Amino acid sequence: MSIVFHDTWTTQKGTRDARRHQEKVDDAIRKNIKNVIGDESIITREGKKTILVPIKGLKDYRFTYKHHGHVGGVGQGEYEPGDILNPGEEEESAAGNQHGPEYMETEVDLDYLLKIMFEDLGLPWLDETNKTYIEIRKGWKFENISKKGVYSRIHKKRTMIESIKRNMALCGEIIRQTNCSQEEANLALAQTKGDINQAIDILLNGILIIDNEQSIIIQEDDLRFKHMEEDIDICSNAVVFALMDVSGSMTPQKKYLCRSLLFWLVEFLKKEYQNVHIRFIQHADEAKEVDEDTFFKRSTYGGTLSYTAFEKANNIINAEYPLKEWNIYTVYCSDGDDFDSIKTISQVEDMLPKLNMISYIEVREEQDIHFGSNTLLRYFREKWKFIESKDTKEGQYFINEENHFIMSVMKDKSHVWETLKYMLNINGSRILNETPTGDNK
Amino acid sequence: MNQTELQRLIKIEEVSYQIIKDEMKFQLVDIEFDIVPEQKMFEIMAYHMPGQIPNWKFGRDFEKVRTIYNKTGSSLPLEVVVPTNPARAYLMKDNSFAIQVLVMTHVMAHVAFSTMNKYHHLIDSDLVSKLNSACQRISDYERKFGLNNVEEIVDAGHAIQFHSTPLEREETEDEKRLRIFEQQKRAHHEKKATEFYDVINVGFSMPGGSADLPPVADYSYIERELYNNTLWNSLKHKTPVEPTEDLLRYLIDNSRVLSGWEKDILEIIRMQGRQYYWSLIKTKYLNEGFACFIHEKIMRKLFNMGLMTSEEHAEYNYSNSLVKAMNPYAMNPYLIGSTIWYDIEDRWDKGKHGDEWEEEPNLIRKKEWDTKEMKGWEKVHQILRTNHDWFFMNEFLTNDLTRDLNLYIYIKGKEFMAGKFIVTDYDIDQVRQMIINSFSHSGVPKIRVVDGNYRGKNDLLLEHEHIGIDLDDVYTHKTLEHIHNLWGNNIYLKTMKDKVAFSYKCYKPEINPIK
Repeated sequence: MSIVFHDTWTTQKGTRDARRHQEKVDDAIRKNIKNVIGDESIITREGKKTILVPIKGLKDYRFTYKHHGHVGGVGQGEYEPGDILNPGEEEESAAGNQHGPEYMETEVDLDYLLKIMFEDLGLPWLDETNKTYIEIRKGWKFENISKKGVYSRIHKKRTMIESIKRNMALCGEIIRQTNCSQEEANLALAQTKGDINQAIDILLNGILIIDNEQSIIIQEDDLRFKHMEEDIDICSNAVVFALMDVSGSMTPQKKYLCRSLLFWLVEFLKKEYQNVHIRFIQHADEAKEVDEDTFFKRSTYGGTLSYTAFEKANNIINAEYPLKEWNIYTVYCSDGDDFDSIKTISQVEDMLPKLNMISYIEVREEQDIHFGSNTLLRYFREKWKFIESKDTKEGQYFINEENHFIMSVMKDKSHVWETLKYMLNINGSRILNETPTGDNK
Repeated sequence: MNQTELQRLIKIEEVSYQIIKDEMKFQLVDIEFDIVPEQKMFEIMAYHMPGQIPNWKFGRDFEKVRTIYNKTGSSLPLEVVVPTNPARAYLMKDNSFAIQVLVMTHVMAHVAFSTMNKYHHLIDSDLVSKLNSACQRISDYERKFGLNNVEEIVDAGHAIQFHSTPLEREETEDEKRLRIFEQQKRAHHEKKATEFYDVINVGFSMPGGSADLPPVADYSYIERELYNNTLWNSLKHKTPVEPTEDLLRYLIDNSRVLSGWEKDILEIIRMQGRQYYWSLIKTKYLNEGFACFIHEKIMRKLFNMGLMTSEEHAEYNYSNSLVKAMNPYAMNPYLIGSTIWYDIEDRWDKGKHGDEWEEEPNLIRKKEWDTKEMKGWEKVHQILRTNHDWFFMNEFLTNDLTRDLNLYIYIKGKEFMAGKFIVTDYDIDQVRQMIINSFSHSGVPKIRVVDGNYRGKNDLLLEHEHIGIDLDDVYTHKTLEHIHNLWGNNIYLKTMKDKVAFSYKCYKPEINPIK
């Protein structure tokens, strides 16, 4: 029998394996992004910074009976037959059981999700050399190290290194002159507090005190100080116009798809680029500039005149964003129903030279009869030459490299992520390769 | 924890040891207590024991333990005890004194249980050092073959870890084949010999006396050899020779895709499941209930002896009530187990057992029955030595107790009640029976390897012994995928689903034929 007290016994495997688990969770989220990104609750959430993400396959699977967890089980407490164990609660309350549903839900920070989602994406065709820069103050950073400075900012490690360096040089000199051992030279130096001449004297005359503890002497000369400087980040200017059709023909489902796409785009831009302006424009038969909140929540009804939105954007560009200083992007979401497409095309043609990229996203529903017949997509394709590519889930993507014009057709939640990836691909090679999803068939 | 507290703890340790050994008459091996910082404690809890092989699952549990602890606060006592010889136990540094004492007495009861229970005698007392050396080998494998590959094997191993029992004999396929050959041969020839004997001696044999007479040598040598040959030929290509429950053993010995290091990892996992987890799973309610039952008794004694202050006793009571709290969604082994133990002691003290008591029609007399038999403690000792969970529940979870413990069955609602859990109106007999059923095979479905060369295609045929409850679909599919990784070929699992025969399948990924 014994009781042993361990004051410092650090974890060994726990932290390592916890990190490994986190990696697996991230991986699962990445594989499941298409479903996460289309989740309505994310856009409608108010002020919440975390979201629940369903994750597949991070459980210890073994042969088990059905009767636990999600089907039922044995419980304890003062309940009568017919009582409900979790009134007013959702299923999650039972998630403490070992056998939950197939999906495990994890609460993930939105910023964190954005980070792992948009890892290799960015604004394409960003002109970083010609447009003027803006300086952003990020705070302070330690930059230089010098011999003079305030004691509170002493750089301990560098000071120690300098001191050891000097000590070693002096020892070498002492050994050369007196033929003593390294240890003795060190002791002598310590005894004389760093004075080399005295140390040699001591060694030659044999008055070295052996039991003197060896130590390193720091002299004025060894001190090193950190110096702070303002941390400035240099960014190029960019403005993104988010245009959206909110007319009568846009059903809730279509609007939802558009908002979903624009929401993620906006969140991504806000996170990735500190200095990007985002302007929101809605239109039905008349364009209106609105703030972010209104853009994602409110809508009007009426006829559709797409050119008004482009006109509005064009006016704002002319008035506020000189082309010399700004990278300009336009993203337009609509169902392609336009009363005056000729005007729209001329307006777009007028804008094209000013823009770094223009992107047009057409949303369709299964029941739409005019499948690709009289929509804006068709007119655009007649006007400019596009290279078309398709993915396995019936998504269509078009690109015109010359004019930096990108188009996409969204029919389904899963296209949102594909479109974003296609649009924000900075490497330039827009060959669609399906990322493996978590679905098993 | 400061020095005076440590001294007090050592004093209390000695006293409790005396109580268990001399007053309660239990045996227990020495215990080495380590007082560790909380992070270390979380780690040991998540990993179940020191020397556990590293895996992301334990990392996840580590985070879970930490979160739960941070959320519920420090009044929830955490305990880890490894029933080796000497036993090892861990106390958390920052716990209050009352909780240290609670955990310590609880651990002592666990150790007494392990020392005395016959199922715990199957635990390998050298397991920790074996695992430690295995960990080093595994970290070598991780460097050599990549973390992902090692993880895949460990995950697959964990999926079927519990399908190996120490009660099954350790023998290779060849040994088994030889044994079965000998058994069947002998059975056949003896039967044959007696048949001949009967024919020859029909006129002389006394009724019932034939077995005592020696077999006759006349039984033809050629016939004998012929039978032996056919028998051996039929056994030669049969794999497994007889259905086996030891999935890991069979896969390690017969898989064509596993390489040496993979087999090494699986052997470690199998050994751990067999010589550690099996015993713990088999006796969970018995063990935890016993520990609660005993620590409550010791704590009461310590308080009466003046070794604990009344504030400390109050704190202990609060923590103890958390441990024994009712859970609306699951059974609490601490509460149910200890209640049954108290009931056993009480009933055998008063002689409330046997036919006479059971058949007593007058309920009041039945309730106030007292023969002053005082055999309670003797019965506790007896159950402690011989029982496991199923026996324990089957025999001692009475209808009265089921009612007193407020046990019920709940189901998940459908349609407009979706997402809600509803208490059913099953009567007490049904509830009790369902609880007992859930303890058969310790809750691990009985799966057997029936054929390792199913339909001559080197596929693996498994069979589930259905006991009235279906297997979980998702879990079964995922587990079969794990087995598929180890076997390399198609897997079939025969079972019942919704009362009809059903077969789960897991095919190897097909190479797309040319379209």
